[in-house]
Amino acid sequence: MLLVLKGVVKHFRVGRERQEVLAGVNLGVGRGEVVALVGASGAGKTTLLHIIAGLLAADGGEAFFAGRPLALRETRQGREQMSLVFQDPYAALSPHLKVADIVGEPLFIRRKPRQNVARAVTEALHAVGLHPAEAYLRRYPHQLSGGQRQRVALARALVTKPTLLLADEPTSMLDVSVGVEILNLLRSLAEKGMSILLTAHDLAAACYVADRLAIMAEGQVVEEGPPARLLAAPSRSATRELLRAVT
Amino acid sequence: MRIEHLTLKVSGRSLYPLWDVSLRVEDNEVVAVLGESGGGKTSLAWAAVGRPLPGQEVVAGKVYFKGRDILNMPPAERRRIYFKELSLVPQNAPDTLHPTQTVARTLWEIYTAKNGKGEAREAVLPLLEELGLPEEVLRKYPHQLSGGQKQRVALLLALLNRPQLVVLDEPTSALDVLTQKKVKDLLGKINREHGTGILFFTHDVSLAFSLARRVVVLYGGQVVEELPAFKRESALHPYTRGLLASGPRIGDPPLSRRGIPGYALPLLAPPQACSFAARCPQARDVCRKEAPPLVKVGEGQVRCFAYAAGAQRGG
Repeated sequence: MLLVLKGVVKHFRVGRERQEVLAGVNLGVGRGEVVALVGASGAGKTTLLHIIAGLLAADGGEAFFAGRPLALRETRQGREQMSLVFQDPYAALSPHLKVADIVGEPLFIRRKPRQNVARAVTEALHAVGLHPAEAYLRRYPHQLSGGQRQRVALARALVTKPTLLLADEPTSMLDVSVGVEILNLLRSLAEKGMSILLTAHDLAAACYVADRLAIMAEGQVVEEGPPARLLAAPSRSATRELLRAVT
Repeated sequence: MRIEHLTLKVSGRSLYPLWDVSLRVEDNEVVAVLGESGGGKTSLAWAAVGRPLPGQEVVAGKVYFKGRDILNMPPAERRRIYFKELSLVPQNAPDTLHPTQTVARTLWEIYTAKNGKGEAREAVLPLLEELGLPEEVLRKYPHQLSGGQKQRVALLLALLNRPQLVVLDEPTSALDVLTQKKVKDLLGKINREHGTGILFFTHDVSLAFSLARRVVVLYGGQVVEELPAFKRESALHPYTRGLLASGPRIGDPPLSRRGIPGYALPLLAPPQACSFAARCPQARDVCRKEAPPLVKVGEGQVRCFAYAAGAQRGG
């Protein structure tokens, strides 16, 4: 397993109340595997993704990444091999930066030489289907369609050559005719060996792209397995409810 | 409601959000307008209730609600019918609730403004139940509600005075699948039990075909197809077929679906070619040189040269 989570717990304070968002999540993601976290709003999917990415600190539990302990603190430490793609491609790209700078930024932060960055950016744009890359390098986000923006966001995630890609609802803001191509793209990245953990509330999209579904409800993974098996014999009410909503 | 040959233009620019759009909603009917971003859905939703989006002007066409020209109605008269005979639930409805008022207060204002003093509570409680909202929602402020709850409160506002027609712009797009299902079931129920007409705008293919009786497909500001919902499998326009083919369904193997290549371009001038030609797998020379007319085919209408020959000119 590339990523292993054990008993991850997270609380948020809402006024005087303490809300348990994650109540002991156990989950693993294998190499080259696509795992989809599926669940209703408020199930804790995004929170879990942010904890893995080091954007949020967990209140308990432990994690291992590539065999090494992963600190569940708000830190970049241990996250060099991970990238996160956000849900909203309209908000995730800086409007002031050109595509070349947006995609190259993770490498600039890592102080890579400018020449290498330019090459890596071109490669990343090719990998997400934006070719010829030269046609996009000098454009600003507002000059791109929604699907192109999400591809740029993906290119930025891929430019560091991560082994684990975290994607938060990567297609929910996109038109269906565009979103399905992003799902196809994620699938083909996985076939080339990348591990992907994504969240989805759309069960059909999750089944389409994932090797394994992890159904989340009330802060826990309540059921997991390959889509075909899970849908043929769902054992938990949360799974059945999700299935009923799309069929 | 009848929308006749409506054309909208962005003021001061040669940009047309809608071009020659005609559409009707009969009493008690549920009509879906299906399309993707940039197709003109939101522009049409607002123009349909007589309030084109700021910065857009009506160049041609009329919108009649119960026989009255709603675009040229005095604003005071229009305000009288809003929430009482005709309601709009905008796309950002959850964000339009008054932030420093409780839900109860907002509901009471809408109720009394239309009914004078009265028992708002008696009108609200049954709707709350139908919407699956707990009564305590009434005492809360918008920021204390989830997105799904806010969307349902906005729906409650729209339905409170039992209008004859509700116009909804993307009623489910901000919701998770479980809440989407609830809202969909609720709209169906309101239509069946109260006879409320529903005109909704969506990008969700399955929502459009499962909730509506008729589906109007909008692309590049034009109606490209109109068909009865039960004719889903025999849609004609390449765009409609592309949409139907691109959404994954349960059981599809990975990589088996294809999207529609390219993306929609805004309409910058009166159409002089098929707006879909650049993305169309079946485009011919004529599609790039002339604008196809909307023609009647069977029980529907389609705007495509593949069906134009020999067909009856629609409108």
